[in-house]
Amino acid sequence: MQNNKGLKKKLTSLFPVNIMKFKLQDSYEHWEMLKQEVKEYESRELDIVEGDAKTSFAEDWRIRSYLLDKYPELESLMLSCVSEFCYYNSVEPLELFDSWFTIMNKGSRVQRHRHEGSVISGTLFLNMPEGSHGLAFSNPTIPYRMYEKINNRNDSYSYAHLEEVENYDLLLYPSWLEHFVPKITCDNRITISFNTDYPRYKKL
Amino acid sequence: MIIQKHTQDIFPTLIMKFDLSQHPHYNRVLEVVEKTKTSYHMIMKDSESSYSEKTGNAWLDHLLLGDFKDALQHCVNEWATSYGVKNCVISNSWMNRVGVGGAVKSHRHELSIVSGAFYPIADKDSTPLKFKSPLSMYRMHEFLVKETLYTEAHHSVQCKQGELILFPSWLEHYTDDNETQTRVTVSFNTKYA
Repeated sequence: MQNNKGLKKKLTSLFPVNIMKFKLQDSYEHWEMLKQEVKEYESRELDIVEGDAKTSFAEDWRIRSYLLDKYPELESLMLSCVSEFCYYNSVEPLELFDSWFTIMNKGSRVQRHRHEGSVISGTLFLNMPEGSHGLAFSNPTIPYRMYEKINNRNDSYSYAHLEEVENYDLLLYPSWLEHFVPKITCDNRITISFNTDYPRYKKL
Repeated sequence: MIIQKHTQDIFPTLIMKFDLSQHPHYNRVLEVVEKTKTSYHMIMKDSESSYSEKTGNAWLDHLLLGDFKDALQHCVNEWATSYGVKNCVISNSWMNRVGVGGAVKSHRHELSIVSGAFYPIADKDSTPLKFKSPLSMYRMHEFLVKETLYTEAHHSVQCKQGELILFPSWLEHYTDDNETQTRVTVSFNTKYA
């Protein structure tokens, strides 16, 4: 039998999904004030958030929350990160659209969802006590893989990718990418999330 | 202000290329190619295939090709290890002939884990194998400045004589019209060992 060990080979990763994490701790001065203030804002019920949690997100686009409008300096910082993401991913320039806070306590979780009507979404992690999680992204190729029996989960195959974060990290990801927050075992996980859209649509 | 950032690529689809042009039994492969009868097949345009729904499609089981099939199997094993999938073995195999103006319509290989396309004969600049992005259907709300690794709807892999391309069988693929005289492909599927 021929020895095949010396065969020249090349492995290529096609169609990856790009996500970005920005470390913003030193880029904004009012984190503590922001954390206090979001707790005071009005919150709503949301089906995809389970357990002891509150959020200002509204599914009805007519009553959407625009939390970042109250914090122009922070909004500008978010926008600069979004621009970086757009440049890297060759997506046309975007503007921030709606934005909202979510506060989760022990035993709560956020079900799998995506952000329709948005291009890139972001989540800023204001308070991440021990026992909380970042975001878990669902593998978009899973529906195709009905015939695969897996030996070991790896980057290509895993059902989900859990991106852990620290306080004041910002995660940016394509809005179409489904994601969720696994059940947490701590109180007071605070995030601000936002959507984006093309400037021409925002004026409509 | 400099902001520290980390960029990460998640959920890639793995394909592999192997160079088998120096295989000692390459001439035997060419001998079998020459003797193979091909005919019309519905997923091919102006081209022919040995594939038939009525037969076992056992092109690689030709008596002359034992060592060569072992080499292909070795490549499949490497892919399975990288991909993290249960061991699989080559099952059915067939041969396609594409000339000027010929093409292969878009398709995938159901009931197979990894599929292979080996080019025993391919004129320079033969039409590449094109993979459709499985992510396109999700991207209804993106205006792109240009196509990149992250945004491409199709990815072309050059067709080079002597090379084997391995790809997940679920990944849809096709070719554009070929502009060369000869582009011969030996294709195969796999099943669990």
